[in-house]
Amino acid sequence: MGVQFGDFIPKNIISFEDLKGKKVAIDGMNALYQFLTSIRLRDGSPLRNRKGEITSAYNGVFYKTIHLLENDITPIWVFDGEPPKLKEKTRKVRREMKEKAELKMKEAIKKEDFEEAAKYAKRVSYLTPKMVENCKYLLSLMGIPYVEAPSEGEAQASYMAKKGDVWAVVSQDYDALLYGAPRVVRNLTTTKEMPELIELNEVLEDLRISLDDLIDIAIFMGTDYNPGGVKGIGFKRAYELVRSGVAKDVLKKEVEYYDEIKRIFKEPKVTDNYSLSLKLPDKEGIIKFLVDENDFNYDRVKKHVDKLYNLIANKTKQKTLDAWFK
Amino acid sequence: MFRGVMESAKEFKKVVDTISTLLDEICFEVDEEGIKASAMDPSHVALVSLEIPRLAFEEYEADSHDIGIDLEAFKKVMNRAKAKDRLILELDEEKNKLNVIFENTGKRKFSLALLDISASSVKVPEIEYPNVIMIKGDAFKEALKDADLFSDYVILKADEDKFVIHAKGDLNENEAIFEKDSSAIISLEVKEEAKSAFNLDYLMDMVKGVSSGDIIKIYLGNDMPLKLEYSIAGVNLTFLLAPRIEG
Repeated sequence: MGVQFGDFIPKNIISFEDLKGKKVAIDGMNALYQFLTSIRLRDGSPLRNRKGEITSAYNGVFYKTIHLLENDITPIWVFDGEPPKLKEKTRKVRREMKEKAELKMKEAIKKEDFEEAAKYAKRVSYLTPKMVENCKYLLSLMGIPYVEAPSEGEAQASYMAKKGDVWAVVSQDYDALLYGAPRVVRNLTTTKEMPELIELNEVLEDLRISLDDLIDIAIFMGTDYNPGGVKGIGFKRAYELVRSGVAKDVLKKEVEYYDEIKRIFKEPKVTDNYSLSLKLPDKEGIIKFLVDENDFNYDRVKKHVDKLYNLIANKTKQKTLDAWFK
Repeated sequence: MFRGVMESAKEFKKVVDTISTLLDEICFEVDEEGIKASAMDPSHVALVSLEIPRLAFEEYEADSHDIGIDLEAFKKVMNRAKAKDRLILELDEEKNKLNVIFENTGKRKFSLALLDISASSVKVPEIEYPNVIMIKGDAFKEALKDADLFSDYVILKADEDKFVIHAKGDLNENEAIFEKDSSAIISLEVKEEAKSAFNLDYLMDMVKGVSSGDIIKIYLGNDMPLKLEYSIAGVNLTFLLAPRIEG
């Protein structure tokens, strides 16, 4: 969920054209949750294979990745590792919210109010470890690089953007800004809205504050490590406190793990151990996984697999050995 | 039946390490002459072929079998090999397993499930190469690591006087030059100047098992697959890598 900066910072509407030729780091968990909640049948239920296992995330990973490559944007997927201990409370709150939604959904189904049921169904989105592993497997079949972050995926993605290995972090959340990502792009993996670009420098100049101040504002408003933030303080009040120079004293008093939270944002655990190069996809492997094991439509998958193959072959200029086996 | 004993499990680990970075599974074709296996990686960019003559074993006894193995599991097991362990490989036909046994102060046995895969029909194609370079393995490996700083591919060039490894990134460049009489070059036979580009990730995976003292034989042509040959612990490894279009 992350910090709710939405209305208070400058954003620019951009087009896919503006990202042409660029590499971007996708906050993987964030995107998978989106796929899980948005890629659904009309009745609000997620896509499933014949065994009843949810396949919405694989659909998103496959088609969105190809869509980005078609627009000459290279996605590097970044996945979470071990979450910081402080996140446990947030995770628990999220679990409870889902359990509540699940109850309400079941009640609605009993009353045969399917519209209501669909609404709650969207909130009951469990991303299981198996789904995440399968998404990584699918990416490796597709020849698309992914990175396993030692801790938070957003921190790793931001680090890669700071280093210049990727141009921007793709996430619906703003937390990447707090990790120092120079650019965050929203709505790139969704379909409904135009992509938005948020530039850290522009944000800091516009507000006339430092990154350190921005993190303080976020902690006032509530982050994944202190959900809810400081009671009664929203963006405006937090901004005033920061500008008047008393923010740190207030935060030290009001926020139990202030120093530790600061450290998570300023010195996150990251790794340099990653590869950014595309590889030719395993065509048969993709069809086996998506069509044979997960009941995707063969014709549509086949068409996209061929498209993916050509896109990567053109980009990497890699030939195959096939010509020497004829 | 199949049973083979090798002097050093640690050395054979290097072989498994190298092939498992390129392939997920492999079918070992075992017969009285020794063991053979070859397979292409799923994207058809690289081919791995290995041959273990019976002489590489201290003891060897076998009739014909196809032994399909999951390389990830095999790698994990081989990672448990200790410095002075001997290696025993034996087929348990009743239980349909390959037993991997480390023998030292005692015997540590791992049983790997056999995969139902048939022997690959893929064999190393007979290609005439104009140029053959024999180079010290560690020199080649270090040059590739240098190249990896700036690029994800390398251009290999050979002419009468030298063998050159060139990497070009967006901003920075790197070049390793091995003159014909430099100590890293064992031999340089050039019939026709050649230059081809290859993916660095694949190339580095292929030389993963090379350590100092090993010699690599490089076959290079224009717009041809690169062929690499070297041996570890008596195991002959051959790799083929499709070129990329330069530029």
